[in-house]
Order: sequence, then structure tokens, then C-alpha cells
Amino acid sequence: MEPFNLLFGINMVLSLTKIFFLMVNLLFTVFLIVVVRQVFSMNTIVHDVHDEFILKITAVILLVISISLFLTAIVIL
Amino acid sequence: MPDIFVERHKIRKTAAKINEQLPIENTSDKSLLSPLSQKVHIFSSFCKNPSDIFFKNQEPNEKVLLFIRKHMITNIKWVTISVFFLIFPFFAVPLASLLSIPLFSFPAMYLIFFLLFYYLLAAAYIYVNFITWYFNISFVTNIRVVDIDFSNLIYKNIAATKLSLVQDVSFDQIGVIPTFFDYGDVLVQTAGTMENFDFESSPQPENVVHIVHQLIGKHGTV
Repeated sequence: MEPFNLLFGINMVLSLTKIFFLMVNLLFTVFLIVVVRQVFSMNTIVHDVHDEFILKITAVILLVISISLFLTAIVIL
Repeated sequence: MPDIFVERHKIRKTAAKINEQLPIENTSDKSLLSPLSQKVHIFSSFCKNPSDIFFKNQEPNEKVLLFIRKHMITNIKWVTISVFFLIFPFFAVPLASLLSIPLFSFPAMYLIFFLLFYYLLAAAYIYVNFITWYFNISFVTNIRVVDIDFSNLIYKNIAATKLSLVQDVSFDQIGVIPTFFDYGDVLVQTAGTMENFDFESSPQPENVVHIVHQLIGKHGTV
């Protein structure tokens, strides 16, 4: 009975870790969506010909990485 | 076919033509509108006659004469924290084994995910701090003074006043570091109950005050 309890305990810890990780990642993704929106809105207020693209693409890349990490974590962890 | 090499005097002539068309009612010194404009790059914090930068509600005959952000040195705090964040994992692993913290009790896949997420957080921290600095801009145009405040991603404030309503300009440069790096707070006082403008940690504050003084028609005060 003991090995079963031990395995159950480990799985429980891993499952809770996964849920916690996913929750934090989700919140972070929402935060990044806000960042992207703000960057796009600020670029309409201040329009810099050269830097606009770099700023927007960086924000979008961060968001894409965050979403990818979230989706991968759901499947793999 | 676009010209790649254009003679310098031709550029000056074209710029001078543009400047002649500008309404500079309050400007006592028209040399402020130097014919050659400077390019603003992503790390610029002070630029006279910037080209390629525009703001919302800019009038067709309005030209940006001065472009100000906080001095680059004011970013030192978050840059240091970011560097610490970036190198922390390299020290965390030996430290954890030294203090016998069971860091590797998790499967390798979990650790990889934690590390990736950690670096994503660090990248977001750097990015958010950078755009907070980047979008805090002040403009002085031939018509008005514009101050754009952007902080903590949720606060945006855009204030503008006409040059004719500016009453006085002054600056504070307190401390060793601001004196060494030549930056300070520039205060633009406006008439009546209107909001005053504060260009925080502006590079070359003396120069800014001098330029605004010239624009509002005051001489020899600096």
C-alpha cells in the first residue's frame, strides 16, 4: 500500500504544480495582451517611423511565446 | 528614381523653404528652426528638429522643434535589476546544491518549463520598463508644448498648451549624478489655472530652458 501512496503523492504534487504553472502563465498572457494593446495605442499617439515596427513586433513575439508556452504546458506537463 | 546623394546646400535650401512657411508668431529667434533636422533613434533622449516623429493631433503646419525623453542614465536601476534576473539562474543551481535545496526533485521537463517561463518574465520586465521610458515624451513645437506621460501600463496623460500661454520656464539640477550627466527637471509654468508642465530628468535642461525662452520671446534670462 505504501508505494501506491507515494506515487499518488508525487502525482498530486506534479498535478498541482502544473495547475499552478498554467494559472500563472495564463495571467501573464493576459498581462501581455494588455501590453500589446497599450503599445499599439501609444504608437497611434506618438508615431515614430523607424521604431514603431520594432516595438510592435517585440510585444507580439512575447505574446506568441507566452501562448505557445501555455499550450505546450497543457499538453506536455 | 530617388536621389541617394544630394548636395548639402540643396537640403538646406529645401529645409529653409519649409521653415519659411511655418507660422512662428512667438519665436523671436528664427535660428531655432535650424534647417538640418536630426534623426530620432530608438534610444534618443534629446533631439533638436527631429525628423520622422509625429504625434496625434499634430497640425499640418506644426513642426517639432524639440524632442525630450528622460535621460538614459535614469534607466540604470531597472537595467541593473534585469541583468541580475538574467544571470540569476546560473548562480541559483550551484547555490541550491550547496544549500541542499531539492531543486531537481522535479522532472526535467518541468524544470525546462520553469526556466523558459522565468526568462519570458525577465524579457517582459525589460520590455515594459523600456516602453515606459520610451513613451514618456515631451515635445516643443512651433505652436505648443506637449507632454505625454505613460506609466505602469495603465496610466496615460497627454497635456498640451500653446506657447503663448507659457509664462516662464525654469529648471532644477540637484545632486552629483544629474550634474555629472547633465540632466534635470524642467518646469514650464503656464498662465492662470492651467496645468504646469514638468519635463522630468530632461537632458541638457539649460539648453531646453534657453530654447523655450527664445520661443516665448524672452532673452538673456539663462
